Amino acid sequence: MKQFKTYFSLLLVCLVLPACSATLNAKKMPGTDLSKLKTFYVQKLPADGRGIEQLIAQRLTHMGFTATSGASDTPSSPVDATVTYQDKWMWDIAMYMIQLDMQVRDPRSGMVLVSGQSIRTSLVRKDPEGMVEEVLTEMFKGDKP
Amino acid sequence: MIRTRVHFFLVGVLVCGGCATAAKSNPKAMIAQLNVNAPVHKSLSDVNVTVVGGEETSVMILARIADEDFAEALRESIMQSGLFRKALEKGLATYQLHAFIAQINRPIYGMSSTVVVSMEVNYTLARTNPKEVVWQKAVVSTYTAPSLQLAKEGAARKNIEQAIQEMSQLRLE
Repeated sequence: MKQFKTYFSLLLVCLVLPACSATLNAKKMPGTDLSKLKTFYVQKLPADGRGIEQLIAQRLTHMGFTATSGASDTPSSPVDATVTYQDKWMWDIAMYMIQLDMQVRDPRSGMVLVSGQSIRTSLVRKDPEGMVEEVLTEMFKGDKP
Repeated sequence: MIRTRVHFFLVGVLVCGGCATAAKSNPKAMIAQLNVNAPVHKSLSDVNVTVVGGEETSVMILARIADEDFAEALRESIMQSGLFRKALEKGLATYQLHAFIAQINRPIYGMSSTVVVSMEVNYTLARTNPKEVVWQKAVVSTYTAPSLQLAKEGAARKNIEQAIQEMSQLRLE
């Protein structure tokens, strides 16, 4: 009986551990000075029906930047950088965002200046606002205006 | 009897977990197979190749390529294409090629038997003396394969191919 309990506990650990993994990272192109960026345009992902582009623009505004969003490839007025993103969702009792990738790009060349990523499995899930906040915070760490 | 079944089940769970163990990228599988023939401009100079932004594959994020693996594949591809006289890891060279692996994406889960990986790399080719950027481009590549390993290596190979094709259009010393 004691051995059974040990096996059961170990089994439970094996099953639960993968469900509570989270990673957060950002990488910046060498030589990029993000503190010079003041205005942003968040380009809506065509497949996104949840309005993630608005959450990103709102969060950037909250961080002290000027940000707009839209479905067009180019902003209506010139900006310092464009923001693109890819969100991935998973079902576990309810739909939740499992991964969010974000890229801040040079509006002229389209080159990625900084990219960020958050992956959160079911037990450590966050709402989309939380995912957006943590990715942007990681991307602009030390480079806030 | 129950104990034996539990034992087998436990071993099964642990083995399945092992299936997610990260596999290191093979630089040889990422070497672009192309020849830069005339009228494309071949350079008689050397190029120094550096790569940043890559990461070692982890169990959580399998779609990663280490800097040194991508750099090795990029150097070897340049050498095989004949675009530059030599592609160096260190030391002085007339040109400096800098690659920043901006992102590698793949679907997390899928019922499909194939895996699609997309990769975006910022390349900057600069003359070292005088210091001047001669070419800069974000190259995006996508590759579909039966396994993540093959898709990842294929995306890297295609990315390098595109970069070399583009650089071969330049008039280099």
